[in-house]
Amino acid sequence: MSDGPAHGHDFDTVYADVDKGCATTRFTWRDTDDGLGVVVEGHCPQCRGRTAREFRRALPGTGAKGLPGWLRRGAPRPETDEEVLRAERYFCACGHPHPNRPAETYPGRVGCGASWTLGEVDRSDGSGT
Amino acid sequence: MNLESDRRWDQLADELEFTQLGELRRQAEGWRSGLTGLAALLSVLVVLKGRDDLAGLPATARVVASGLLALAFLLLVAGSVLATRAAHGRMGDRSQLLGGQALRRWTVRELDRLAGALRRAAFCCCAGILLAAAAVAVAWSTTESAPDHLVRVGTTTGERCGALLPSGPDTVVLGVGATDGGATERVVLPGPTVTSVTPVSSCPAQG
Repeated sequence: MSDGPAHGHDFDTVYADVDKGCATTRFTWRDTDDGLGVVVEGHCPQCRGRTAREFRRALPGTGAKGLPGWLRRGAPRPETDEEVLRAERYFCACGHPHPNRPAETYPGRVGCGASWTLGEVDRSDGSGT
Repeated sequence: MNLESDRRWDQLADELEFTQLGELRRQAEGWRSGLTGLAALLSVLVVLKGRDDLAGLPATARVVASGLLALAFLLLVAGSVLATRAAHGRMGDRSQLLGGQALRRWTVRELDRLAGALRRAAFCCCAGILLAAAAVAVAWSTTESAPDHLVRVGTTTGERCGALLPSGPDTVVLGVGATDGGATERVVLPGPTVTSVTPVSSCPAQG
């Protein structure tokens, strides 16, 4: 992860499981190069390191609307990508081994331990909200 | 929200991409087994068993028993499909953007759907078995008892009709009057007078 000069990654931030609530920093999303997912990018509201989270398109399991769902009026429509992204919880993945971090950290989530949700997320080409 | 729980869902969603092919294959195998079993059941019932068991029933009982059996069969098939769906998931899902929270919401919905499918499967199977038992009860209660070994014996003095009883070398012994519910009269016909013995399904009422 590279730091944006305007943000200034605070490498000394001590690792902590902190819920930062709804992030006020700007996040953007774009399709992955292979078109099979999206990447949400921005800066961690805690340590201000640049963080990115990739979501892949996949089968959640083995489920579908099924016949009752087809017959039932008002069945829930599938969520849009942006709705999914807004409902997610994001964990800092700045890549920096902050002090006091646990010995076992999920490889894709190395950071300061902070988490947040997104209030607004813009598509990086400017076509989103 | 529990952060640790959210973190685990997040990691689980990450891993899903690498396991879904195996999951789909297991699902396909489960559905293949379920559908093969159903096809075998249908073949046995329709092709091998046939409808001969109901052919001897009175018309009304035959209609009732056939209807009960048909309904029982449909319920058992539905129950089997629902149980297969509960065990192996539903076919035809679409790929979607998966994050931890999306996976968690999907899991909650799927748990709800599975519980419903299990309840319906249990109901269908129990109702199917009850209806099949009712059809058997109808068949048993309305099937007439098999006739005795009735024969019509022609003699030089006329004909007698009755159940053929153990007879000697020079006599033919009939049980007469058993079909009308009364006491059986044992009639011994001398062998030389007997001109013919013909199996019959019923005897005329005794005057």
